[in-house]
Amino acid sequence: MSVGFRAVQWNRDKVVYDAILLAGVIAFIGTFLFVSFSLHPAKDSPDEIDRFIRAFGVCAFAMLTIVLSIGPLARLSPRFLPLLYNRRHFGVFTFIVAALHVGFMIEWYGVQGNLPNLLVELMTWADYARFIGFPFKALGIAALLILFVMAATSHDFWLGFLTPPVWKAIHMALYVAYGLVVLHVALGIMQYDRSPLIPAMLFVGFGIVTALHIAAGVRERWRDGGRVISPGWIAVGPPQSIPDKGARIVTAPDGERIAVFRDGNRIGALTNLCAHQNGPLGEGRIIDGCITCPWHGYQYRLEDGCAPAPFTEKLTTYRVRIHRGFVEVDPVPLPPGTPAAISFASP
Amino acid sequence: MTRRHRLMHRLIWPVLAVIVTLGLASALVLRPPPPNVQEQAK
Ligand code: HEM
Ligand code: FES
Repeated sequence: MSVGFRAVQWNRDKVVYDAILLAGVIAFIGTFLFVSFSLHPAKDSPDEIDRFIRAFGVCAFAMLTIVLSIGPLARLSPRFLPLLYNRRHFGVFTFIVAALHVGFMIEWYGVQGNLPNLLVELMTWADYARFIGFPFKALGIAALLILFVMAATSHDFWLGFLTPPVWKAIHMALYVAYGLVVLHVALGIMQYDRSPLIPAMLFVGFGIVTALHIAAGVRERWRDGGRVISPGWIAVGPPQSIPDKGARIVTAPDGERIAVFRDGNRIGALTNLCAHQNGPLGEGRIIDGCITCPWHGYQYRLEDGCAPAPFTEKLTTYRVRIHRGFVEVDPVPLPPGTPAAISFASP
Repeated sequence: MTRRHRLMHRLIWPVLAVIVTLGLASALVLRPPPPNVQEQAK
């Protein structure tokens, strides 16, 4: 992936994913509005617009909750990997729904002819020193800005331009956006509207995201095996303990993770970080003779960590050996693309 | 995730989570009572 800018690559899966997503958003907002207007018919035009603000706001909150749950869910069970495949489109959709929420809010002021009040509200600086009474819309604006930056830099062009570590670090800001949205609602509508559904929505959403992250974190710690026995080498286990066409992940003394793959009687070790978005390569499988990343399907050769032509990505490899019946890895990284896989005699 | 990234993540996110939890809980506790309750109290 080095030949400069390329437009979004459409394929059938992505179109299906987006179609399902769009249908879901329309169904959610449609149901929300239908229930809302059935229970309490709108009194006037601002009241009607208010329902749209709420419908789009709740939908954006639900979407953000899902986007942030996809990562840990995919680590807990491969069943959720299809969601991860196109998570970025999910993020862009979330931004659009949130932007429409703001659009209706501006219209709400517009139909009443008091748009300037919005500015007055946001520029009453004394309110920023309060907790209850804090200009909650400013929290929403900050969250929307983050969502905008995410959507605007979601393309692979930016990924290559910024490098995966920087890009990933920027995308961590999505968690900050989530916190801002929770407080936007807690200090905003929750203060005037006594419906127990509002705090319930916040606690459930925030609780799900937090619990999933803790669960995925605990599981990762538990899996971080790898004992250093002979100096410098990390023991992985007998060759057969590595699933065929799969990997075991070990942690080097410096904390970097190494994926040790087995393809029949061939064994090779590479960094656990995919060159695309640092996806967990060791959770992938060998498909058509190539190690295939579980996130978006980038492929690498077991022999030398190089992507097959015409691609040019190269991964760091590690030396492996069989010592007293155990596969062992030398945690000193070799230059990316160095051939290092070995064959062992089948028992 | 690279090692440095994972370390930052481990340090920062619990702090953010605690801030948001406290903010949410205090916003719930401190919110003004609805108008009709105020009238009943008088
Ligand atoms: C420029 C940024 C934003 C502004 C000015 C804004 C403004 C508002 C306003 C005025 C309300 C109160 C609605 C009412 O009175 O019924 C509200 C509620 C809400 N907003 Fe925002 N918002 C912004 C961004 C966001 C974002 C980015 C999200 C989510 C991703 C969001 C989610 C919500 C939710 C969930 C509610 C509560 C709806 C309910 O339960 O009734 N807002 N917002
Ligand atoms: S992270 Fe995207 S393919 Fe590996």
